[in-house]
Amino acid sequence: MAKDFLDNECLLHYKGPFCIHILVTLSNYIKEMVDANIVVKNRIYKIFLEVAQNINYYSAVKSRVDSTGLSGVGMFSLSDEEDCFTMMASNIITEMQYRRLEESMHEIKGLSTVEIRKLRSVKRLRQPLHDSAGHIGMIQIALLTGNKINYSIVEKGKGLYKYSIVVMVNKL
Amino acid sequence: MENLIVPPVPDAPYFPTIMFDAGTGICEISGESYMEETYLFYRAPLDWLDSYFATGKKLVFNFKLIYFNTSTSRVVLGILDKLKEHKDKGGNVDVNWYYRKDDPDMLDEVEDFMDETGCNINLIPM
Repeated sequence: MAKDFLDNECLLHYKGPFCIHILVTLSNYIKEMVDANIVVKNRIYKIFLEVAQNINYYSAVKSRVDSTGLSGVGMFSLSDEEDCFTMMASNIITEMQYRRLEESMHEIKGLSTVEIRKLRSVKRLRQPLHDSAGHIGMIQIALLTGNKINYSIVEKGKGLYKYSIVVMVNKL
Repeated sequence: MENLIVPPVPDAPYFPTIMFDAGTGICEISGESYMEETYLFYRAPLDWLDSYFATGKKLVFNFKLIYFNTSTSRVVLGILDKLKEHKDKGGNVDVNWYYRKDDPDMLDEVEDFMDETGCNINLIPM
């Protein structure tokens, strides 16, 4: 998967802590530099921010960037292909996150767009207002991509797993 | 009653601009919203609405968000629930959502907000 990815035109590749300052810098880069239809660019922008915030909150590997606290560490890449833009991200997760992700992916699998929107509504209504995590990030990504989300989870030992996700946004 | 104003911060675009005017009853949230402690940020606007409703005056709520994360979407739902509840009790409330024509996903989500809360939202292209 990584080799294929490197064969294509890489627009962005970042590995490190996903603190809020990095999110601002990379999302601005996407907004300013990615040459795409505005609808497509909006989707890339929104998916990047959801993926990046998931890494920040849920990566089991943390790094202290500044006095604001610990940030989750991971990797994100964006490449420009003939018919689509491809985003790839990976990070280390705990067993609890592994189970939560598997559950999310299982829920989304095989659903139509209308069904995914209904699922988002059901889950959002169930979420307490004071909960800072939306827990619908994967559903949101599924709606924005319009494509199947490819992912893999590989056991790394000591209760940790390497989680990788590939999301494609079609060009219009 | 005081106005509630959170001005734009160029270095922190993840905080939206908030302008709640107690004099005119016009409340506006604009920009982007993807801060880390979402509820902490929105607690003051939510409390402000409760105080304003007690005045019995008309309220116009304008959403002009161009991006919000999933965590913010839960708070948006909370705001809409509050507005709907006040309206159901006889309050005079108008809710407008300004959206960009090049963002069909936003439009879908606002339609879902209407279904989820039962709150009528006027969709206005900007």
